[in-house]
Amino acid sequence: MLPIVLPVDTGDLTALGPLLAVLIAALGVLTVDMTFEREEARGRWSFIVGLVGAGLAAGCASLWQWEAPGRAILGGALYADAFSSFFDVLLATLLGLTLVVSWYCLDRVKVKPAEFTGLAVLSFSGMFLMVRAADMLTLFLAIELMSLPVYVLAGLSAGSKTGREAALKYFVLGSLASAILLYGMALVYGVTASLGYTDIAGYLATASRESGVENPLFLAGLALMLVGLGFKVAAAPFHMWTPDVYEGAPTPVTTLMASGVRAAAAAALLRFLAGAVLLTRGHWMMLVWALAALSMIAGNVGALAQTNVKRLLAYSGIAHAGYMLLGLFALPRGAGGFSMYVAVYALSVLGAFGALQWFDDRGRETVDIEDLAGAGKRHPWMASVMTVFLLSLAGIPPTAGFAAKWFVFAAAVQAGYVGLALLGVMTSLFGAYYYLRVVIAMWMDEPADISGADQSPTTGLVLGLLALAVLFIGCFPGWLWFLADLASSKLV
Amino acid sequence: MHFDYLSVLVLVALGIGNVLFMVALPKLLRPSKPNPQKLVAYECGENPVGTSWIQYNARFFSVALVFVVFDVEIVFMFPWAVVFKSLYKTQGCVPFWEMFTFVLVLLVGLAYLWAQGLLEWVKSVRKA
Repeated sequence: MLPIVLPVDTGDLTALGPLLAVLIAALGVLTVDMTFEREEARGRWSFIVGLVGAGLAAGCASLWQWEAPGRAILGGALYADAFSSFFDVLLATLLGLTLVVSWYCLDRVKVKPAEFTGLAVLSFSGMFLMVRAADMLTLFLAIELMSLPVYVLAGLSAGSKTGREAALKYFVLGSLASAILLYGMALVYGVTASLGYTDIAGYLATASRESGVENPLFLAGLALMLVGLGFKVAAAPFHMWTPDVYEGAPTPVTTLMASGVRAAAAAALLRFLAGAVLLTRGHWMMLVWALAALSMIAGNVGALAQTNVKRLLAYSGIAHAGYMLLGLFALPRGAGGFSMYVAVYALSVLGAFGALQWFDDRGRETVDIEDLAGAGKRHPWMASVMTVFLLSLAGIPPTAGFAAKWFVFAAAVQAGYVGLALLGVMTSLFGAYYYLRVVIAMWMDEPADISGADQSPTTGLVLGLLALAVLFIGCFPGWLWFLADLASSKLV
Repeated sequence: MHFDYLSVLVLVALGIGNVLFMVALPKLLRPSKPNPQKLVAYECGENPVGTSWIQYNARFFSVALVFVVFDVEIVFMFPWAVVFKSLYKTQGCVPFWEMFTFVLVLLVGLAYLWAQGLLEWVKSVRKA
């Protein structure tokens, strides 16, 4: 008889808590989906299981000793540190909010609630793994665990041709990006003979310049890895898929792609750059410079001409990837601005897509700016909430977006990249134009055709609270900055 | 001389010999009554010659996916089983529970497939 012992020591298990909570919730949703007879019961219970998983994950993460030094667990495959906990709390919040704001819209886009919840929770378990990955294999595994459910989710809407097109596009391009990432990892492994971030950093510190930081093979691998990760955060020039996929996928899925997926990918990017290859920052910062500049220009210019709100938010997301990358220039001092920007952007964009879903009151998805015309007269409260999220994305005070932009621009200026920061400020002006176009349509234009609104007060309340949180962070950004800085300073 | 590689040579000879034996023995034993249907190359019930853009049963995909569940399981379990005894001496029951967790996760996936009716070839749509 084998005695029952836990496979890992309990300290490691606490550090794994959030990840395990979400993984078990994913299995729970599957179990629920095969247990209940009726469709509604399956949907409702899977929703509850998903929410409980998110709650437990957030709870476990906030219990972490934030001041404690980080350490590697499970034989160096994962990190347990404040950075993981920061993103655990963020991801758990995003998971809960995604489920809540999407709940009433799934019928409209012909997606089965239990299937949506199951795949969303499974995808989030990949994200939880991703933010704590401490070696390249775990990173790759996590990226795939996150992406595969999202590919399916994009095409889950029954009978939607655009959804199928989006799913196929995302799958093919995503696989290509994964292959390029894997090729980069192979080259890096070939040079450093190690998979773990700490070991790679150790190799670079001890090897000679020719075989280490200046090694062309190593730099090629690093560049390829940046391509793969750049695809996931949708930084230009690897952004081509974003508008089509965001537009074609059902809005609940777009919500998840724009917030959770990007946040996790950004966290993994920062962890890799800061944890493994910090010594070669002279080289990769040039690439990040180019990515940031191109993203800010391509995103903002692309968004100007859009009449479809989902496409507009997709292009603006590309621009936000650019602003986000500015925060990386604060390395090696700790990229708190980057982490803070990721958190603020994810919350704001989730709110914007959530409010967009709330406005679906004509039996189809709200997608065009003119669908929102006169929303301020029909639903003044929800229009105010949407306005807050849009202003936050535009970076107008006193919203969270302004505070976050402030920190990333400050990081770029302090690192001596004044030109890039100026470019960021200039392109933000374009951003203000197209976000305000939506705001003006909501408040100034005459209502298109008013039909009976059948909206959920719960979703409205949650979105309202999220808007208040965005305003609160905008007025008092100090605490979030403190947490983000504390979390990110442990990376280096 | 490289006698170390003799075993490889023996293995190659055995492999080729085995194939020849397996082809030759039935040739001697079986009756020979060919017809056009029998002479078609075997391709899982599909016509092996023609354009590849034909419609074929979508159930092939789900069966392939179900197969992956078992496939992955055995790929990981086989090496684990080979070294389990030595692992047990050094790490106790930890490897056992690790594999238990792994198989449990796959079992949930299998149960889900079963509940969805994907294990039956004919009736695949679950009553909503």
